[in-house]
Amino acid sequence: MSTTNASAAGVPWVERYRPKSLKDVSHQGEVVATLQNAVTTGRLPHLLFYGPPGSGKTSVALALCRQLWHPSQWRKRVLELNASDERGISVVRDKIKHFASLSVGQVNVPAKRNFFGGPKEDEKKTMDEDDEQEYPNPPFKIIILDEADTVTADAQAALRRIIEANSRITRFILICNYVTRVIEPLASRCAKFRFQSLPPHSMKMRLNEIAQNEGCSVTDSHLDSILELAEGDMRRAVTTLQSAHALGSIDDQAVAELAGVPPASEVEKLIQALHCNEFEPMRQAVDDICAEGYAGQLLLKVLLEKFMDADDLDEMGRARLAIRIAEAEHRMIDGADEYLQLMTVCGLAMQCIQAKKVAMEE
Amino acid sequence: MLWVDKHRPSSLTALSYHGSISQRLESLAQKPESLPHLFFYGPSGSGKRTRITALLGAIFGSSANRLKLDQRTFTTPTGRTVEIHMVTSPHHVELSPGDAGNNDRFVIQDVLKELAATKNIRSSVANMDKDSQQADAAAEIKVVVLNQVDRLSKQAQAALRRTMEKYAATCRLILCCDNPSKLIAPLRSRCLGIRVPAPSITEIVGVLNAVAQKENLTLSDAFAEKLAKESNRNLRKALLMLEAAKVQAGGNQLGADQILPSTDWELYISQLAQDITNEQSPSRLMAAREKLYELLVNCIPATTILKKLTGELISSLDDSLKLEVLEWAAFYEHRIAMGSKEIFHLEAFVAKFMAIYKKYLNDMFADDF
Repeated sequence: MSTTNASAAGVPWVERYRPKSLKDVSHQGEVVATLQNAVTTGRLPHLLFYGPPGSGKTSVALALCRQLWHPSQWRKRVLELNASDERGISVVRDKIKHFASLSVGQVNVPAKRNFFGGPKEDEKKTMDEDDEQEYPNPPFKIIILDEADTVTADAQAALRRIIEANSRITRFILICNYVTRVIEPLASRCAKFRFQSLPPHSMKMRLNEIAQNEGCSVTDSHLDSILELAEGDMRRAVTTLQSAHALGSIDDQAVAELAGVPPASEVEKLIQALHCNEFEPMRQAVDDICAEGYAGQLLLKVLLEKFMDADDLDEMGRARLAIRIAEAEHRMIDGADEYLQLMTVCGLAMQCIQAKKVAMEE
Repeated sequence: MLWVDKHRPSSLTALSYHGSISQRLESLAQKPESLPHLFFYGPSGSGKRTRITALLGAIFGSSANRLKLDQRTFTTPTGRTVEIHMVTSPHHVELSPGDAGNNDRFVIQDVLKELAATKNIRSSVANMDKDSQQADAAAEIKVVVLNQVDRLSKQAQAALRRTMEKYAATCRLILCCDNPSKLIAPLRSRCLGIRVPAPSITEIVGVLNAVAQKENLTLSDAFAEKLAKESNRNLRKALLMLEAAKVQAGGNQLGADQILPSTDWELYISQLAQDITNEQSPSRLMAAREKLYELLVNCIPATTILKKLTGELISSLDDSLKLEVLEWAAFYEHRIAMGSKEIFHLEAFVAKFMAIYKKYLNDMFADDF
C-alpha cells in the first residue's frame, strides 16, 4: 500500500489516512482486540458494526479484510456492497447468493502454515513489510454490507436464510448507524460491536500525525476548535483540517466558517430582538439570519444552548422551548421550510420571555 | 438575453461581493489536485451558481465554458425509463438528479458511477491557455455539479455516501442547494461547506447601478434601493425587476417615483389573503381552492405559496393571532414536505386560518355585549 505515488495526491486525506491495519485504528480498543483475536485464531463470526458516523466502522471492516488475505487475494474474497449499489431483493437473490455460495478455490500465495495459524508473537515484527507479511488466509469469503440500515426490510428478510445456509464459506459484516433499523432476526445472527464516537484526545493524536505528514502547520487551540466542531466524528475532523489547509491559513474564524456555525454576534442580535416582545423586530431578525444562509439545524442547536442558560426564562419556558426546538428540528429533517420553523421557535421564545417578565413584576 | 445572464460575472475576480469567499475559491483553484468535495448553500439569488461556474473556469480555463446539452435515458431495474438532461463540458458534468423524482437513486447509482469510475485522458484535454503543469493536474480530475440536492430522496443521498469516497481520486462533486438541512449529515461531513449569504441591500444597489451603467440606463438611487428591498435580498429577482421596470417605463430614465413591477402570482396571493380575511364561509373556501389550484397549475411551489400567504395574512392581523397562525403555517408546511398531495394541506391551512379568525372575531363581538 504505497501512499506517496502521483495519483495519491488527489486522494482526500480521509481516504489516504484510513487505517491500513487493525492496530492503526484509533480508540476502539475492545472491538479491535476482539477482532485481532479473531484474526489470529481465524475464527470469525458474522459481525454487525453499529455506531455514529465517523467512528471507524467501515475502516475496521476494510482493515480486517486487509489483514486476513494477501493484497492480491483480498479483492477476490471480499464483496463490498454499499448504498450506492442496487440492493433490492433481486440483488440479494442473485448477486449475494451467488457470491456467498461459491466455495473458495486454491490459494496461490504460498501459505507457510495452515489456514488457521496466525502469525506468532515473535514474527510480528515483520508485519510492516508488505511482502513478507504472513496472512492467515482463512478459507472463507466476506461480504461487507455497508449502510445496512438502508437495505429494504424485504431484502433483509431474504438475507436471513442465506446467512445461515452459507455460513461455512461466507461471513457477513453488516455496518449501520442505527442498529434498530436492522431487523432482529438478522441482528441476532451476528456478533454485535458498538463503536463509540471518538474522544477528543485520541482524535487529536491522529490529527497531529496527519498534520505533520502533510506539512500543515496548525496550533493546538485550532485543533481543539476543530475537534469541538467535529463532535467525535473523525471523518468530519479530518475533512475540516484538510479544507482549512487547502484554504491557506488556519484560524479560528475560518474553522467556524467551515463548519457553518453562526457567529455569536448574529445570534445575539436575534436574542435581542426576542426581548422586544414585538412581532416586527423579531420577523426582521429572523429574515436577516435566514438571508445569511446559516443551516437551520445549527441555528436551532445554538439557540437551544442559549435558551437553556438564559436567566430570563423560567423552568417551564425552558421546557416548552426545548420541546419546540426538538420538534422544529425533526420537521427540518423531514424537509420542511427552515424559515417557518425558525419563526415558530422564536415566536414561542418571545412569549416565554414575556411570561417570565410578567411573573417577575407580579 | 436577459440581463441576469448577460451580466453574470464569469471569473472569480469579476465577482462583486463576498470577497472572502472569492478569495477562498481562488486558493482552491490554485491546487486543483487537492480540491475537496464542495457544498454550496445559501438563499436563492445569492450567487451560488455564478460562483460555481467561475470556480470551474478558474480551474479548467476556457474549455470549461464549451458546454453542450446532453440527454441521457436509462432504465431502472423495474423497467421504467428515466430521462435526464445534463450540461457537459470536457471537464465537468452538471445535472439536477432531483428531476428524476422517485427514481433519482438510479441516476446517482448509474450515471455518477459511470462518470466517476472513468479517468480523463491527459493529453487530449490539455489546456492551451494555462501553464501545462496546472492544466495537467486539473485535467486529471472531473467535476460533477449536482444542483438542487435538497430535492434528492434519502435513498439517493445514501447512495452518494460511499461513491463520494470511492471515486474521490478521479472525481470531485460540487453540491448546490438552498436548504442545507435537507442534506443528510454524513454527506455534509464529507464536503467543504461554502456558505453564500444573500447580498446586502447596498451590495445589490451597487450591482444594479453597474448593470444600469452598462445598459445606458439612468437609475435613481431611491428606486434602486426600493428594488433591492422589494427583492428580499435576492439579486436575481432584483435584476429581473430592474429589467421589467425598464420595459414598463419605456425609456432610459428610472426615477424615484417609478412603480415597482410585481409579479402577477404575488398579486394573486395577496388577493387571496384579502379574500379569506374578509369572509369566512364554506363558499369562500371553495373559491380559495380554485385560486390555489390556479397557482399550483402555474408551477408555483406549494411552500412558496404558503410562505407568501402567511406573510400576507400576518401583516394584517392582531399581534395575538400572529403567532398562532405562524404555528399552523409551520405545521402545514411540514405536512406538505411529508405528503404528496400539496393542495390538501394548502386548503387545510386556509380552513384553519378561517376557523381561528372567525373565533377571534366572535370573541371580540361577544365581549362587546
